[in-house]
Amino acid sequence: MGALDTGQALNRFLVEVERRAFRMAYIATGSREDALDIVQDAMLKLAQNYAVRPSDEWPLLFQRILQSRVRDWYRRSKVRSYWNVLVGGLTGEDRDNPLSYVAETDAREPQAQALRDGAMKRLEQGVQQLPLRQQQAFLLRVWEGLDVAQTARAMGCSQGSVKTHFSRAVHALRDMLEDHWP
Amino acid sequence: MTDDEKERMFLENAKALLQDGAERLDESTLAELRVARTRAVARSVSPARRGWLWLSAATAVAAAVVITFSMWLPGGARNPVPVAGLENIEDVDLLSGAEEIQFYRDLEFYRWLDNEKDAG
Repeated sequence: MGALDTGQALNRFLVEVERRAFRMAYIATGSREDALDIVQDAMLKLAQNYAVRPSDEWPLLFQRILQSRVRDWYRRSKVRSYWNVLVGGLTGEDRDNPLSYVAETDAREPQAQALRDGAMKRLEQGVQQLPLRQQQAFLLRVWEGLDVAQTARAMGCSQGSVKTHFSRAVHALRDMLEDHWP
Repeated sequence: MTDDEKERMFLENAKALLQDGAERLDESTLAELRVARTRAVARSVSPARRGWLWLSAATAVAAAVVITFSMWLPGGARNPVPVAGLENIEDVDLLSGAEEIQFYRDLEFYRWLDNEKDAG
């Protein structure tokens, strides 16, 4: 594949994944700016290091980089959080409203849309309450459609761990949300 | 409805809601994602790699020009330039082959034998 073709193919691939990547990073971090930084880093690393690889490898490579960046952010935020507690200052940063970066919808079906917005908000809040590894397993399996082996590679853990995290996430979310679906 | 069916419905619903949220991102966030993507794509070919690509392309073009030019020169590839001392390439084989030297020795013997017959 020539350099121009690679650029075009990479652009198409990133268009396809960038929104989901942002939402995943946002759900994990609760911060729009941090989510954008994480997605940008993941895009750059994929482009610089893996653009030469066959394009059918990009989805898994991108997810692996993205999830790794999310884990790095999580570790840093934990350290920052402990430090804030130690010095008696802030005990954590406020999370942004999960729906604050979702555009206003048209008013064709306001009631139905309001119900969906409510369900989406509860779902995202529910996923945000999960431990990070359960979040990752749930989003990669359900949203990205990765199988257990691919999810394990993206998360950098064993397939057994993926199954455990996913099962716990599904049970927790069903307990929280199933009675409130629209 | 079995529990497996309930779970499958729950997961399908969750996926649809997550996708809905992703498709309705605000313009400001989409613009920032576009900028990030453009930067990444621009770096998909690194400056070093771009340099090598240009160097390879320039070398290939130069080689093609040289070959084409040499073929069209008067007396080019169609009329090879003679190399001093090797005007008759067959001489090399003649001088280096051991069998050929034996042949010439035999030839001397046959010439002597022929002379002996004539004398006799």
